[in-house]
Amino acid sequence: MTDSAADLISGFETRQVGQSGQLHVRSENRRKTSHLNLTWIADLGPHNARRCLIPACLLRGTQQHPSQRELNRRSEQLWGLSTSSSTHRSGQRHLFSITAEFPDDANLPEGEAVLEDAIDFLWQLIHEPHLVNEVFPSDIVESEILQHRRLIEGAIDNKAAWAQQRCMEEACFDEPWRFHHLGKTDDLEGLDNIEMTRRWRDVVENNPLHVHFSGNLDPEEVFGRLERLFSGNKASKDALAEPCAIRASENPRELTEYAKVQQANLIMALRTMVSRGHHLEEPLMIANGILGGFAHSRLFTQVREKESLCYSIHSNVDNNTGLMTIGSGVDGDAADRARESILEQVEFVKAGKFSDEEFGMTMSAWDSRLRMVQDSPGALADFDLRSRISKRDPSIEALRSRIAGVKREDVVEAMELLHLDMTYLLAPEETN
Amino acid sequence: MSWTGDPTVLENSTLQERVVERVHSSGATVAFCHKPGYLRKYACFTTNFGSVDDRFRIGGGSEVSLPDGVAHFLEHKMFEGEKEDAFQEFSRLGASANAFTGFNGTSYLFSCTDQFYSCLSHLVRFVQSPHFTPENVEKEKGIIGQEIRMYEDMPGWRVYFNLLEAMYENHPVSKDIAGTEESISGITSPLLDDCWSAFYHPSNMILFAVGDESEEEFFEQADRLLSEKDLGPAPLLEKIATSEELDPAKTEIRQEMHVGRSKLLMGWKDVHPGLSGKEMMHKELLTDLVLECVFGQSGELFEKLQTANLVDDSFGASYMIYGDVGHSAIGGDVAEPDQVRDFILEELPAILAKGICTEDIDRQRRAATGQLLRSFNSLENIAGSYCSARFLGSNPFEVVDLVNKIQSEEVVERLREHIHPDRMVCSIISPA
Repeated sequence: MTDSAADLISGFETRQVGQSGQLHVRSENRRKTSHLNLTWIADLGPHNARRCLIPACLLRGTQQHPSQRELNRRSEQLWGLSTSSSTHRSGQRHLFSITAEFPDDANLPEGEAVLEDAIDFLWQLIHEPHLVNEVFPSDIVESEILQHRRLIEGAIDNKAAWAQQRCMEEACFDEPWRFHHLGKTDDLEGLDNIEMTRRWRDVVENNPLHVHFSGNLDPEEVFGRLERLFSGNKASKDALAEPCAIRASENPRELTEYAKVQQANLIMALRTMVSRGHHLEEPLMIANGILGGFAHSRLFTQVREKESLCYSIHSNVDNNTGLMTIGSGVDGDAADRARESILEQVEFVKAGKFSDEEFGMTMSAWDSRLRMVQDSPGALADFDLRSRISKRDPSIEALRSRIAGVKREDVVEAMELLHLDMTYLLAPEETN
Repeated sequence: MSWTGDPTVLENSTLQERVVERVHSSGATVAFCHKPGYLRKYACFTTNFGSVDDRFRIGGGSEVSLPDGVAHFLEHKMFEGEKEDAFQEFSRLGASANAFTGFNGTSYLFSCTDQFYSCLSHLVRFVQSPHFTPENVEKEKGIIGQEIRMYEDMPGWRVYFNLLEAMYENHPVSKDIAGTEESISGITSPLLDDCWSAFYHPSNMILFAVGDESEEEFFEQADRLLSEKDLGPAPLLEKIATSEELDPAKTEIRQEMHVGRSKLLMGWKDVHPGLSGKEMMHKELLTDLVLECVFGQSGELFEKLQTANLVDDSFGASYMIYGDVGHSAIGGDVAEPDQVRDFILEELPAILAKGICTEDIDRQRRAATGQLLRSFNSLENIAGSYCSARFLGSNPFEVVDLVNKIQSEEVVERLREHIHPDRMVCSIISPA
């Protein structure tokens, strides 16, 4: 690395806007584009589907560009400004975002500029959508309801993600993170353009909004330009529900469902008893890395490479939900062997039998992964936002430092709290 | 060993990027792109041996015909070392490694934040030290078998390969990159040895790196590494092309799967033996522009389809070019695939008669420039674009100039040449 590189990487500078709005800005001169992300936060619940329709309706037109076609033509004119909407979940929260990326003015031909127009475009999308008689046009809302219904129905097309969600729904049947971020089709019943308009106004006014900007500009200059995106937002400090406690495992459960598939998807959910802020949070991250987070991890080297039981296998830990999930695509007939083999590896790590080398490799893999986040404005914004939602220090340096302090015995202590809660199998029909 | 000739500098003033390229006396093409300030460094060692290379001969000898999936199988087995697999050393170095096989090439890669030259050494050494045994080849068949089954359950993958199967009568581009469980059953360690000797000679490979490293040191290190092993003179490799007629093999392929939403792809095939370099890149850009104007989300056709609730944002179009053939693919997730296809077929005569207006072309040019600027933020994309372009004999930095030089008349001409209703091919996945 050249000497200058470290100096160029800066975190976000944050300003509070109102009680619950935050504007995060960082100067970034390594890239050729600016990245702008707006995320509203809500609680996961039975109305996730309705909420997903808000950004979708906003991207159908503005007062100035009253159709999606005209919006797209305007985006192309603005040097291919890309705008997209997305929804995610983070613990018990529902995140719904609009993201834009556009060239930095310095990279455009002489006399051309896009920054001001891009910000104005985003502002119009949020605050001046195309309305007829002060409500979203009914045909647009009906179209988006239909498309969203199809999107929910299409979730099964990704079998691994579907299996993961089914496992979550069964394991956490009364916890808020059981809700899929796309919601359920039932929620779309009875929804009309008047209700959608009310929901849009309610979100803009009352849901906490985070705006992240990375680009080649002085932060002070950007703060002034972006604050208008918050206009009308008066979200209160208590806009979101209190954090939900994580839970211990009771009796391990098993569920098998069948589908017309070639390959079985095996998902195992384990309760970690480690939540955000717990002293074993970072040791559990390392434990997960030793078990199944990387290509050197035991699930990969033993279950895949040594026993040839699968192609894909990984584990993931979420300290918001207190869950570790292990997912694998296996032959239907080999599912029992795969489950045994996976549990053997869990017990192996629990017993502290992993080598110093495995521990060291995981420590450096985590460190490297965190450093790499800093090269991507999107990943950095996501890290920053999720840290803040979890009431965690959003500094990558701080997390690197906490990880660097993890000892072997801490990993074993974290693993000792781990208990199997649910084993879910999506199996080929012929194995039934 | 050392370098042959002077360095070549590929650059573009709009993109403000440059790649320095040298030919090593081992035969390898070695190239470097400096990205100041990036913490991440990325390198790949890529061979011009992909899934379409299914027949070859050496030095005028007898023809060798390969079973489907050999290039991909070889990619898997290259990670196997005498003592351990190659991932382990990358993990010790804190790097993340991977590989992928495409139609035209196989790429081995890593990304890291530190110890770049140790990682680069390991990359070059493991790709130049195959370790195939009958036992480890047999063992891999189980893992790849699971990978193949995973793809069989992915409707997006199936709809694409069914489209290619319908398009191509003989050309190997229509074959699944991983092959089938049956085709890989015949792969042996001597066959992998033969393929490695034929296609992994440095003269058939590119070593590319991108990141914040010194250009001078990179070339010094690359010279040292490529000089470590004398692999002798380049084999007289002759890839045997398969001829293909312009007419499609079938008009459509339908498949039922366990999906929530149907998938539709429509497309047209190009056959252009002998086309290479700038002409090929021009054809690709020209066709991309045609497709975006006709099928893109700022076009009249998309608006009509969306108003009729027949498509959503998943609808799009792309063009792929592979040496002597190329094809477009248009479609997405749809509820009524037959209706969408019929609707488009009904609209096509009017679209072909009307042509494409200059205003649309100019807007698409601006959007394409912005998209190119965005793509140069990604280290993977820089590496991928460079290697693909070089294997096809073109210069990736000519893209911007070529886009700007495209004439309105040739866009319309290309539209009427490529979009030929009688030669359209269709692939549909529908719920079982």
